[in-house]
Amino acid sequence: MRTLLTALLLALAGTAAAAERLHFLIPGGAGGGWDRTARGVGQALTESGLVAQIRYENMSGGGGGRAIAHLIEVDNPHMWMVNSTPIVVRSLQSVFPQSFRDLTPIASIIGDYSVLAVQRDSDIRNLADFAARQRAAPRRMIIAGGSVPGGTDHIVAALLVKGVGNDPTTTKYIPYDAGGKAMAGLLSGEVQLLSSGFGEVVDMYEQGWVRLLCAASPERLARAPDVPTCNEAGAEDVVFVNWRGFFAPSGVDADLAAGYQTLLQEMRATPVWQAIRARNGWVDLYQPGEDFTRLLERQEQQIGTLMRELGLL
Amino acid sequence: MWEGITMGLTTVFTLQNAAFLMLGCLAGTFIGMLPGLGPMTAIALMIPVASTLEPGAGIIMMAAVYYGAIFGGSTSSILINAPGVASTVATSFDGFPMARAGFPGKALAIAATASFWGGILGALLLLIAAPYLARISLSFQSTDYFALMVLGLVTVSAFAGRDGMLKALAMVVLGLMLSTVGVDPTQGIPRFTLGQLDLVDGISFLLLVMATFALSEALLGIMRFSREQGLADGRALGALRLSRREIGDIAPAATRSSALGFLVGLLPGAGATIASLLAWGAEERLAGKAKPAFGEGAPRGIAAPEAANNAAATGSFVPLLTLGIPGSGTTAILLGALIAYGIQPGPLLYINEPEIFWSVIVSMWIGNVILLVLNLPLIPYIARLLAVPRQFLLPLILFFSLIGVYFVSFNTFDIQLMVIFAAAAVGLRLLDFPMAPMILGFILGGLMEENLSRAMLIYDQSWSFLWQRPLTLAIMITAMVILAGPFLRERFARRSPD
Amino acid sequence: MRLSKEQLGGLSLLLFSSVYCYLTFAIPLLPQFTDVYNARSMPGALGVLGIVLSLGLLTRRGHPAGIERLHWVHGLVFLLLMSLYGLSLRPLGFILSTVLFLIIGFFVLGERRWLPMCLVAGSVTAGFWLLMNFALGVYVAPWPAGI
Repeated sequence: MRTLLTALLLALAGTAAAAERLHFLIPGGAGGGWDRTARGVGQALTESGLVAQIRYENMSGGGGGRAIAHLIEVDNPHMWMVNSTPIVVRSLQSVFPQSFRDLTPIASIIGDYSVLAVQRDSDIRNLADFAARQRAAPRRMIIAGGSVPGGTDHIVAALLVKGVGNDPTTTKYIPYDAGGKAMAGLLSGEVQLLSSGFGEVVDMYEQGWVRLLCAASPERLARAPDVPTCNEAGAEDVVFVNWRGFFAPSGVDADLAAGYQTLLQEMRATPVWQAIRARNGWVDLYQPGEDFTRLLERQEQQIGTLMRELGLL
Repeated sequence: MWEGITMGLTTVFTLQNAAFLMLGCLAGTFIGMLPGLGPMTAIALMIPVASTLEPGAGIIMMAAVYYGAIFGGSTSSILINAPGVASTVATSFDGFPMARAGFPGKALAIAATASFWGGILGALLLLIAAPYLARISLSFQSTDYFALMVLGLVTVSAFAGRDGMLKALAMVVLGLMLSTVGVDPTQGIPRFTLGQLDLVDGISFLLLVMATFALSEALLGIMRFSREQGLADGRALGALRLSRREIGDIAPAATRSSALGFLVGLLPGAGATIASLLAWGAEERLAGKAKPAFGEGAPRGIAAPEAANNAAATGSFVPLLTLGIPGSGTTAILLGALIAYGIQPGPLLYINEPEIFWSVIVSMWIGNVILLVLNLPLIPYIARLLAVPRQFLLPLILFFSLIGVYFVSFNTFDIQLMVIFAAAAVGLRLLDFPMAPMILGFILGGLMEENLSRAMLIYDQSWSFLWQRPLTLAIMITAMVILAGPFLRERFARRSPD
Repeated sequence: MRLSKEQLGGLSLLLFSSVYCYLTFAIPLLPQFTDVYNARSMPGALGVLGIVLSLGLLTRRGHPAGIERLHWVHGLVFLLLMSLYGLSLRPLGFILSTVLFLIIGFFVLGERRWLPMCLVAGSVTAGFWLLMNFALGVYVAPWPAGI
């Protein structure tokens, strides 16, 4: 009976047991950022022939916690979960009990550095200007962002205030429920600054609607070479990236994990992936295994310290 | 404007997109025809398909699904007197009598022609109004958005009339209450989650719609079900053509209703249902004692609500595209789909992604043409679906509604939540409480609180923004006038007896 | 005295609003936020508004509520059936649970011809699953875990 059912299952699945098969677990619903990343990567992997078949399973709930629990419970070495910076933030906030330490980080694949933007005709000329005004009248320096209080844009805003030597608890952050709405808020003049991922403001920047005070990247951004890094502009050590990457269950053996990393490495060179990446405006940030883990640890420490200072933990 | 139209045309007119347009129209008609399932459901069910496409193609397809579903809804209203959604209820007033009198084909043709006309005129008005409004909308601040939400909510209840007003307001408040479930917009505190992790992200709009509309409709059908009940048979539809005289008869009514519908559609919150009921009422009054009387199969009684609901559907794209405010349930679903593409409708859409903006408008035209030219002849075949016996159809509708929500969230908790909402909705509907105001309260409630809390933060916890910004003040005064309208009219009428 | 439809509705809304108000006080407030507008503001206002409106509805006399004759049992059975479907979807897998849900549903509505019932349920379920899995790339487990 069991074999019969198995045969039926395989018939239903269309292909006989393929050489390489992956199962992508997506912690959010169809169409979200996680969903698009997973399906984009999946499409590149299958169309370039690197993987025979990929199945996608969406599992939303609990701010991503349900999917993490599922990944751990099923413990299938061929199951990958897509995730991003919020896994660090939410595990610090104890939205779910697990953290990235309960999983095997495979690699980050794309990333978006944060920037601080003002309207084109704003009288805030540079970051030093912002520092002086913020110190003098913090209630008048309103920073908008597309994430909830305690989310990534808020954290970057507070990191910048702290980086220029002011008191991070005086940061006046106004949340919008999306980056685009925060940009509209900036242009309507109700806020003075915008903390956002570069990817979300790049179009408006290139059309000259906004100026960027600094980019929270280690080096200047290729698409905005005139914008100083925050470090150059006077905010020490403010580097922040919103990455997206993949995790496997913990205890995946080292060879398999290394194989997965090579897989993604090879995928990056394919024209399919480059087309998908360009279409979505994603910036390459491939950091495999150890590098990825270090990024996660650094981010956890950076965010944790700041959130405790802000009284958000 | 012409560059814009050209841009839209070149985006839409690829072979691939034309195919998606047709597929969307067909799928929309098919789904919309099922009793209880309307445009909202149709678009929701097509989201998984659309999300595999490029944004341009996906949006075009969803616009086609939208029109197809509105038309499909009219079909089931006319053929079996089971309006898929509230916006086609008015169509059944005259459409079903005409079909029963032996002219179902003609009734369908009138509906299709009037919808076409409403859609085309609506898109033309959209074309004129939207770019202009898009430019103004750049200066809209949170305080203005808050005032607009208040205006929208007030409008819903004002249209309910003096008798229904209290019920409508109560349902608006119920919707607002449901919208507060989940993390609060200012401080990220979970509210009313009853300790459930699954409620932290709030109640999904799609879920609420499917439970209170589709599920409750099917459940009521089940509770009223008897096997002797007459069912739609697969009888011939008759000719699907209209004579020139008939077109001449309905054209003025359709044109008037289109303009009315578009204006109603502009208001956040009013939407297609109110537009179609208003248009039917207005035409009934204009018609006087003409035969056949309204309600007994008058052609104009079909044309007016059909033109109005399509024009209103188009009109509701104006606040969606320029301000990011969904004026109706359907546009709220579309908004979700657009956001899933990484497209944020609002003041910046026109600047950032003009090709999206224009292709939406152009695809409305094309969608309407396809509907009339390609879809209408297929109706006799699609309509066979309605001959499916109810004891099969009703459980299938329940299944499709449940799975439509499940296949977006993949969380079985949602199914249990739907069962609870469906039970409550059945109870409220039996007591004649309307569902539409609740849905609008829910849509606008989240946006209202978000903008209010932001305004309070920006103005340092003072209500002074209500009178410091002229735009906000003007919108608030309009809202108060609308709310007080029915009472003022009553007083005025009492003083001057005619 | 029998209640009118408005009054019945008002009564249920009053109940709901009261619970809502009670739960509003359970919303925790963060001590470091001293803002006038906080997480309780909107719910508080809505709760009060809900109570006022439901009291307004309670004063509406009107005709006593006469609700049409309905198959209440069918309604309840289907509510239960949907709930069970939700519970069985993951453990039984998509195909088994859906086929069961549909066949029981048809049966409750009086259908007794087993062949059409099985054909309809089977073809809709299989068709939907194949469409989702292959055409749209949306995967749900078709069978119980472990097969």
